[in-house]
Formats: sequence, C-alpha cells, structure tokens
Amino acid sequence: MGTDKGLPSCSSELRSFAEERLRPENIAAGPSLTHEESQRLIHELQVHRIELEMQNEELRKARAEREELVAQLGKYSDLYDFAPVGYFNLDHAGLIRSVNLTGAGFLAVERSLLIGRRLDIFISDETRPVFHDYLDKVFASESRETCVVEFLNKGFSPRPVQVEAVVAESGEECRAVFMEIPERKRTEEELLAAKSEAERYCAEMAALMDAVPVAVLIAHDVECRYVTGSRITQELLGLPATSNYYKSPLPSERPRNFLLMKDGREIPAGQLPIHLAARGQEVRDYLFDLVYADGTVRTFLGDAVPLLDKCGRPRGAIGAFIDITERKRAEDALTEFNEELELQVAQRTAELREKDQILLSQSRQAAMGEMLGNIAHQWRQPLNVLGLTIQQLLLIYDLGDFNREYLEKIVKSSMDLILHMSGTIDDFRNYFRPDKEKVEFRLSEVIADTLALIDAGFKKQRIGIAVVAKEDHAINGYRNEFTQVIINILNNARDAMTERGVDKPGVTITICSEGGHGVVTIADNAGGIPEEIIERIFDPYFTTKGPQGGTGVGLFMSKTIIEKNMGGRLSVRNTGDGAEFRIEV
Amino acid sequence: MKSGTGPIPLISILIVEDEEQTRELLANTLSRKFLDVAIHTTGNGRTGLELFRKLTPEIVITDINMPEMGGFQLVFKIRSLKPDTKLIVLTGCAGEETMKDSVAKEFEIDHFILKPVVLNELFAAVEQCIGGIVQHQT
Repeated sequence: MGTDKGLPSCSSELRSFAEERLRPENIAAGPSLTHEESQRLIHELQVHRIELEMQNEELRKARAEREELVAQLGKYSDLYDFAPVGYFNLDHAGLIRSVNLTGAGFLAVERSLLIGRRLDIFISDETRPVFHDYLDKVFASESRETCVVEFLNKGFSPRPVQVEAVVAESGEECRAVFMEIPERKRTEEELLAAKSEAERYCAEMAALMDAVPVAVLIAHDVECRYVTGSRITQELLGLPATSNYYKSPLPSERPRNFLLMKDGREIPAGQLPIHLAARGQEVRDYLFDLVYADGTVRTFLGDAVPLLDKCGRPRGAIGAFIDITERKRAEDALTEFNEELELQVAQRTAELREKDQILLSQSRQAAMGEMLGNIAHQWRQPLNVLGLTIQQLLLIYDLGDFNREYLEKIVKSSMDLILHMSGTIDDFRNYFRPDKEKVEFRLSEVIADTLALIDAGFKKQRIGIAVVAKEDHAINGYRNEFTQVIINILNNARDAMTERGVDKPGVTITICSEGGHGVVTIADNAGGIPEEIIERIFDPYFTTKGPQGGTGVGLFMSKTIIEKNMGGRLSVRNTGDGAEFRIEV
Repeated sequence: MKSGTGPIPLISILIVEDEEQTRELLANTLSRKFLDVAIHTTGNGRTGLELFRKLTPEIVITDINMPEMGGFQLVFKIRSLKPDTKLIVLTGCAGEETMKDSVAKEFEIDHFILKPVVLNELFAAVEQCIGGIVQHQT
C-alpha cells in the first residue's frame, strides 16, 4: 500500500508537521476568547484528538490486513501455477489471456509466448469445431460447462483432455480448467507398453525366422497373396530375403525355379498346405517334394495351421516343413537293405529247408532201411518154413508117403504163410503211406501194430517188450506219424541197450489215461540219458550215435509230430534204470 | 522127442530152434530122411543145454537167435562139456563170411546152414557128421 503525496508516513513526522501549522504567524489573528469559549474549545480539541486516535488505530489495522493479503496472494499464485490441471482465461474468440504453468505444459510452449495466442491451434482438427461450439455455449451460459477435446501431441497421437469452464462476472472472459482423463492416460500407457512389447516380439520373431532350421511360411491373408518365410525358406526357394513367397493363382507371377510335387504330380496352388490352412483347414504330416529346375529333389514333411482373427475366422496361415530328404534317403537305404536282408534270409531259409529236406529224406531213407531190415526179419522165418515145406514135398514123394491129404495140409500151411507175409507187406506199406487226414485210433491198437512191425528185430536182439495197458484211450490224429514216434523211441532204446551191452534188455510200454489225455510211456533199462545232454536230445541234428549212427532228426521229428501236429507233449526223464519217454496226447 | 523106426538108434540129434513150425518141419524131415537116428527138439538154449546134459546127443543142430540162451552160448557150453559133439548152426542173420570164420577158428562149429534152409545142404551136413561119428566109433 502506498502513501498519499505530502503526508507524513510516521507519527513523529506527523507531530512536527502539525506543530509547524500551529505557529502564530501561520494562524490568522482572531478575537480573544472568553473563558467559557476557551473551555468549549478545549473540549472540542479533546474530542478531535480521540477521533484521530481511533482513525489512527483503524489505519494501522488496515495496513496489517494488507500485508496479510499480499502474503496470501503469493501462496495462491503458487497453487494456481502448480495445480495438476491447466487453468486458462480465454476470451470469446479463444485467445489466451492467462494460463498457469500446467496449462502451458500441456501445450509444451513457454507461458509468456502463449498470452494473446489462439488456443484452438493446439487442438486437433477433429475436435476443433467441438471446441468452438463449446466456447459459444460457455459464454452464453452462466453455469459450468464440460466437454472433451484433443490437444495435439508432438510425435504421438493427440491427447484427449476434459474441459470445464465458466464465464467470468465481467462476461468478457471465461475461466477454463483442462484436465487429463485418467482412464485414457492409463490406456495410453498400456498402449505404449503394448507397442514396445510388440516391437520386442517382432524382433524375436525376426530372429526366430532367421535361426529356425525349418522352412516356415506365414500367409498374411486368406488368399495367400502375401507370404513371408524363414531364412531357410528363402534359401530353399532361392529367393531374395525380401521376397513374397506366394504361389497364388496368378501363373505369370509364380516363381518358376521350382515345382511342388506330391505323388508324382504338381500340387495345384490352391491345394498347397498353406492355402488349405489359410482357408481354415488344418493340415498335418503333409509330405511333398520340392523339385528344382535342375532336377534336384528335396522331400519335406510338415504341418500347416490356420491363423484366426478375433471372431475365429481364418485370416492367414502358418506352415512349417522339415527337410527330410536325408532321412528319407536313409530310410530308403534301410528299406532296401532290409529287403536285401529279407531276400538273403529267404534264400538261406530255402537252403536250410532244402538241407532239412535232404536230411529228412536221409532220415526217411534210414527209416526205410530199418524197415527193410524189419521186413527181412519178419519174412525170414516164414520164408524158411515155406522153403522147408516145399522141399519136404519131394522127400515125401520119394518115400512114397505122398497123398492128397498131405498135399492139402501142405497147401494150407503154405498159404497161411504166404498170406501172413502179404499182410506184413501191407502193414509196412500202410506205415509208409503219408497220413492225409486225422483218424481216430486207440493207443493199445497202434502200439500193438507198431510192435508187429518191429518185434522181429527186437526179438533177434533178445530185447523183451512188455506192454502194460492200464487204461486205453482213443485219440484223433495222424496214425502213421504216431507209429513213427513209437518206432523212433523204441529204436533209440534198442540202440542204447545194445551199445551198452545191457544184460537183460527190456522195454516196458505203459498205456494209461490221465486227466482226459492219453499217456504212453516207453521205459528202457539202458541206464538213462546223461544229465548233460538230456536237455538237448530233442534238438534237431543232435545225435550221440556219430555220423554213421543217426541223423539227429528222429527225436526232433517225434517232438514235432506230437507237439506241433497233434497238440500233445513229448518229454523224457531218467527213472534210475533207464530213460522213460512220456507221450501225452 | 523120438521118432523113426528100426533098431535102437546108434546116433541121436538134438534140434534147438525157437520157431515152432521150423522146429517141427526140421524134426519131421530129418526123421524121415535118417531112419536110424533119434531126433530130439527143444525151443531155446537153456532147455537145449539141459537136454544135452541128459541125452548127450552126438549131433546138435541149433538156431542162433533164441530167447533166454542164444545159439552161440549153447555152442560154447556144449564144446566145454563134450568137445567131440558135432555142431551144426542154422542162421539167418550173420553173414556167410562170419560163419566161415567161426567154423575155422573160434567156435569150432562143424557146419553152418544159412536160412532159408536148403534141405540137401542140411542132409549133406548131417551125413558128414554121421560119417565122422561112425568112423570114430569103428
């Protein structure tokens, strides 16, 4: 607060100034006063003095209030300038009359340069008309009005702000508050973060496309007109890095340096896995060949999957394909090798089979030889008897004893012998006839018939054969094969007993029935099979008889016949006296 | 078994053969052929030996393969009991060479006849044996 010109500023000055004015030369001489008059004057002066003192007091108070106001003005100026909102005083044309620091910050312009400028030049084209309409509305109204405009934001998208304004009392200007919209602000931050994240992903994707050792293709549209790919894709297709790899149906624009083939035919563009996927079809394990113009072929295997938009509609596709040329080559080589191997195995098997056939044939021949021996034994006695009978005829005749009765007797006995010998032939012929079909036969019956074939040989070697038929059993099977098994086992027993010079050689054949199965046991008294070979006696070509003695096929064949052909079981054990073979059928 | 007619036979023959028909035929034929010879028969080596001890026949005709006791065993026993017995072996199994060898050395059998038996060979063998015995006796 300033002081009036010519007036003293403090009380002492004021006093001296007053005394000066009271000097006699400065005061016009008046009539002398009576005592009464003087008394009244004094009283008047005293009243004035009190009035002056009261005025003085008020003045002092006013001065203190003024100082207080000045202090408060500074405080409110700060609040005004540093408020988190922008304060603008605008006239009706939108010129800035005053603005706080925050408001200037919104516009990113020095405050002093803003005064007198139009605010709308800082507002986006889109919201400028809105702002003009808003100002008209504010100046026409007495209440507070609100709207949203966008401040231009250098390098970024415009920044939306909310405006609240009220016209001043003068009606010449309005006071407007500009506030940032908190949600928008957050969204913007999120967008910025998302943008940076997207940029990071882009970088990673680029690195991935460079590093991945697989041909990757990305179709960015359903038509596959814009397709990008990994470095491997570029290399494989022999295209520059920036190429678009599309194979969409514009033949003139299609790359010509390669063909994509499947099953010997070129794949139509629309049928390529990436195209199928871009139309929404998932393609898995797709195998195709990449055939270069120079004839080189590479084989690929891979998948293609659709890329979907927010609504789940296909918007493109990603395909990834592995070059399996080497693997396929290795597989082909392996297949070829396997085929070769199979061929070799087949050849070897055929050779072995042939060898088996030879061995079997030898074995059969050995069996035939054995059988011929048996036939010889079976026939020797009747032949001898027949010979004696015929020779006796002459003797009887010479002695004069020859008559019809005698001749009849001779003819009958001879015919009996001949029929017996014929029967023996039939027995052997039946035995050598291959079994064409299974027949039902009784164990006791087949044992008896078998013994009839071979007993002469056993008898000759004085080997006793005892048959103990506890319980007979009928089985269904190949009768002659079964006979062969019995003969094989009996011949082995005979050979063992002969070789070991057993004192009273004997074989016991037991026939019984156990648990619904027929059981035949053949036990000899040759001392048994050495434990170290008992496990191997059924192996093919295993023989203890030396190269002259046996083929090693007999027991193997026996086991095959009983177990494979008849579904039974053939086993052996040592009884203490000798070996016991057990046939269960 | 005894067969034939005429005076008391000077010579007896023991036939050891397990096959009955053969045994009967041999006995029948020999008794018809050699009327003054006594014929005895049996079915195996063991009974053959028993009969030999009992009858001490001059001639023994035996088969080789027989149950209980075979022909060779019987031949050994008889040779040790009465070395001058005439032994004729009938065989259908062993080879001719083996038999020849046996005749010459080991078994000292006098004759072997292969089966099927040719009667003339058997008769000749028996006649030779009888001739030898008669010569020895005189």
